[in-house]
Amino acid sequence: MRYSSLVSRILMWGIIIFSVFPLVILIISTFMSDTTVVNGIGLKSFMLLSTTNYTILPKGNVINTQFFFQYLFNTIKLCSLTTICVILISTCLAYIFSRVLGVKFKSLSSLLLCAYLFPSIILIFSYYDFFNSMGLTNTFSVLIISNTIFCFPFCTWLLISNFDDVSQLYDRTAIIDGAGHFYFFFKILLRKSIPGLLTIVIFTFVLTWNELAFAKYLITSEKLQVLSVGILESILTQADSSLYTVFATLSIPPLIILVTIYIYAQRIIHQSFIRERKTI
Amino acid sequence: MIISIRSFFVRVIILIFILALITAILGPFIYSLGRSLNTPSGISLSSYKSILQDNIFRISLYNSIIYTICTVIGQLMLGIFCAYMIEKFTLYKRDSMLLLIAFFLPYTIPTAIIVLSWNFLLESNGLFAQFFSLFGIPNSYWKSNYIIVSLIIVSIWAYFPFVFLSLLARIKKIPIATYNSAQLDGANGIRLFFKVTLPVISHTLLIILLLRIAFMFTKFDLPWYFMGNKDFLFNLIPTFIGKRAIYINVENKVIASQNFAIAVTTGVTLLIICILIFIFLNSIIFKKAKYSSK
Repeated sequence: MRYSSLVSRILMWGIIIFSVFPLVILIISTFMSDTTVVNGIGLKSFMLLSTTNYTILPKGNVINTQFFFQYLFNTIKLCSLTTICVILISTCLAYIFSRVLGVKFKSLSSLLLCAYLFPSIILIFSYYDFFNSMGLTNTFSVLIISNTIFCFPFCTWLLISNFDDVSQLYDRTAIIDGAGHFYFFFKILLRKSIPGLLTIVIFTFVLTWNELAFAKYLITSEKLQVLSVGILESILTQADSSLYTVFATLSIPPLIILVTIYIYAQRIIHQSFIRERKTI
Repeated sequence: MIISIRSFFVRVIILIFILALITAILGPFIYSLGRSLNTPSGISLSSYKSILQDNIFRISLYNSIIYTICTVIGQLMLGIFCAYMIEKFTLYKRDSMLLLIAFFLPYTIPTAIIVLSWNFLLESNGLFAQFFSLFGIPNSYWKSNYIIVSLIIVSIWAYFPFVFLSLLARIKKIPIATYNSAQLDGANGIRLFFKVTLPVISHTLLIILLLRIAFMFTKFDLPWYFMGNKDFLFNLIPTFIGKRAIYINVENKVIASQNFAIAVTTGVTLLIICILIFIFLNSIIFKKAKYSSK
């Protein structure tokens, strides 16, 4: 079907501009001179488009920024390890809820969502006292554990509905053919739930990447800091606000990495949906 | 069922689940409840009494309710529209991929960058502020008098992709034959949406509504860094808690302040409010599931 009306097309373009415009401004600010950024990126800067307002290349000292690559490496390490932990826990728990506990225990899965009813700032102090008593504060493990605890309830809940969509006929057929528990779980159920698994990978990765409060208040060491906190600290502690453009540039590579991961993952999800619909 | 509960593997997994559940959900609650009841004069509810009599708490609660309602409605409307548009109205695969990327981008941005890029637009000399000054809205209002409005717009922008992705997955599962039959019976675009799509996605929509209310009511980082040290009139409950909970000492370490008891009391109060909303919405979801299974 094509765009059915002019109104839909206008609304669609309006939402696209709304989604993308702030990021376009951020990228353009990278190439603007410091005085333009400090004075404000207003209508005049765009209307005049005079060359004196723009610098051709981004700020050269970005690549030499000491901690940028350390922060980036820490963030990728944190997101990868958290995603692996969340997948391990969520798949097992979702399997228990979907295949082991009966329908009368289904309402227990709603308890998982109660984890998000608590303000995160209070969670931080609870975790801080708990991990401090175990001597884990200011270590990388505390970030992995706290992010895993934060992400796994939602991912488990999401996977439960994915596993429920896989027909129980597969279970019975597998038993008849002599398949064991592990064979059924890894070779049949997980394969059928690949779109759901990809979704929780994306959500966990993005949530952990953007997570600010845990990293800011549970870690004080510079070497262990993550990118979101590093950028925020740089913005907040810089007396000279002309360095905004430097930090805008700092934010672009991670964005490209995330969007690239998402594009490839989304293609797989999309193709699996199409294959699934053709078999209905 | 394929696995008996007597299996050792299953028992170990259930034990892990119980420990994870206690740690993740009950641990912080029990800790906060203990701190909120532990006053200098012993175990009492005096912290709760002082909270309920505090005017700033009431203003913050009111602001939080307005903020939550407006952002959730905005996110749901935008998310539903985008998911429906992508699924129904794009002809070429390339179109839908580009739209997916455009709609998902805001969700991938860290909070610090969201604050930075929207500050560029909303500060006095910013593009949006100057554009809306042509319609009579003073430049400085967006970061002062209208800051809650600015925060609502930023929150809708940042978090509508969550709704969009969740609903897109559900809408994709609706068979095309359902739409074809409805079109053969004379249904136009609007009727197709309200009579075919909306009833099918209503269960998922209620669950997303529940999640979004929980997330936005307890959202801390975006309001905290976007609003900064604004007047108490613009407080939300999470920022009210933050201002009372956090204290940065001379060694630049973050520790609990002397008003921490007030902060945890407010946190527990917020939790009770969220649980009531949760129970109410869950009963609607449960009734709907029971009705649809008949």
